[in-house]
Amino acid sequence: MSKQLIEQCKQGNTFAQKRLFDQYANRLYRVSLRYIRHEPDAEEVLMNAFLKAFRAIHDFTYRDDPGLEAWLRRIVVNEALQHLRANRHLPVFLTDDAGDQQPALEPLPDMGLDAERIYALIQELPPGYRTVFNLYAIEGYTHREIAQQLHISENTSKSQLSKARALLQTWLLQNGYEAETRRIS
Amino acid sequence: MKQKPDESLDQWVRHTLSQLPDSPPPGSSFDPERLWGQLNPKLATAPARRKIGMAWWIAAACLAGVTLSGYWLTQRVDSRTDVAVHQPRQLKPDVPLLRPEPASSVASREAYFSKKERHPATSRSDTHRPDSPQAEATTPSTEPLALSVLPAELPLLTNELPGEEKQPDLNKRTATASTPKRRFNVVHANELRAEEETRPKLYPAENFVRIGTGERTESISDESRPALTLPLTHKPNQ
Repeated sequence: MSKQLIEQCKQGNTFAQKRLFDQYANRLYRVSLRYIRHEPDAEEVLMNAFLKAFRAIHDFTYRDDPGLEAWLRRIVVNEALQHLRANRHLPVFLTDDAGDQQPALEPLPDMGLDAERIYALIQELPPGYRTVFNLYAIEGYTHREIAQQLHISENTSKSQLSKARALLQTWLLQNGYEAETRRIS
Repeated sequence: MKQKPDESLDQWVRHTLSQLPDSPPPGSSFDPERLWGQLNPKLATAPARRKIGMAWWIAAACLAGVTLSGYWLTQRVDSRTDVAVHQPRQLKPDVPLLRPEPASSVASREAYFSKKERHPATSRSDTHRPDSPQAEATTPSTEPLALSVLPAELPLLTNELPGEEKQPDLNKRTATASTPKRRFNVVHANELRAEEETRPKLYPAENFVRIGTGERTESISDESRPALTLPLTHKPNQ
């Protein structure tokens, strides 16, 4: 099904492009919002990413749906990093004094594992911590790749990641995820 | 193998985020239809840009093709010219060519003709006799020049004005070549001196002196300008 959709998108079929957009827009918007907290900027990044994807879809070879989603996700991530660089958030945002910040989250109604809460905690990380944690822990980049993408050293990437983990665990404990935190540590 | 606590946290976060619903975050104002409305016009302009890019590439290819073909044609004409210059046999005409002479030989020839007009019988008989040494000496000068050093397009020396354009006519050229016209005899200055020495003297010239260098740079066209000669005598009545 998706293969036919991709072939029709390669032929410039607008309806196929709309169907592909509807299928992945919400998921990729979450990806964009994990890197850029400002919603209008995240929408602009998503739009530019889809624009690039439709223009470069002639060079894409479809194998399966996860491959298609990974390809689209990578375009969104690159576009988000480009947006951060264009707005001079990179690499200036790499700070070391983010330990005292507190996440501005509302108290959880229950103590259960909530994906939306974890998502919101990640969004509350400082930009440098958040970017490196997203790239390493969620997207699967290596420290070398992160260093190349953000124009920083590998040691800086490692230190940013360890600080992001420490801050995230602290927040998890403060927001009632004590059991989960104890289990993973 | 036990995983590190940090990697366990990463896996736990990744696993948790994979359970997110396929919808915008709660409280978000994200509207996919509105974003598509902004995206669709930009997608419509994308093929036009590609067509413009293709047109530029086609125009550049045509320009390069015209330039290369022009260069190739120029090289081809040059190679033909080289071949023509290096093939003297094909360009050797039947008509003997006259070569330009230096000014000294022209002056000597004019002096010779002025004397020949004074003594027409003697000079003509000597000059046109085939077995005479003077005739043998003048024969090589009338031979055609070697064309290997001359350009193929060099015009023949004729009486035509330089402003007139000459139409190429092979028949006329062949007829001209069969009956060559000789208006002048090309004689070396040394031959003229030798002729003067061998010529029989009609009158004793020991008592005359010639004023001047012997060679004239200006042309003598008429007989109204005789040579000035003064007799050497000590007698006042002569």
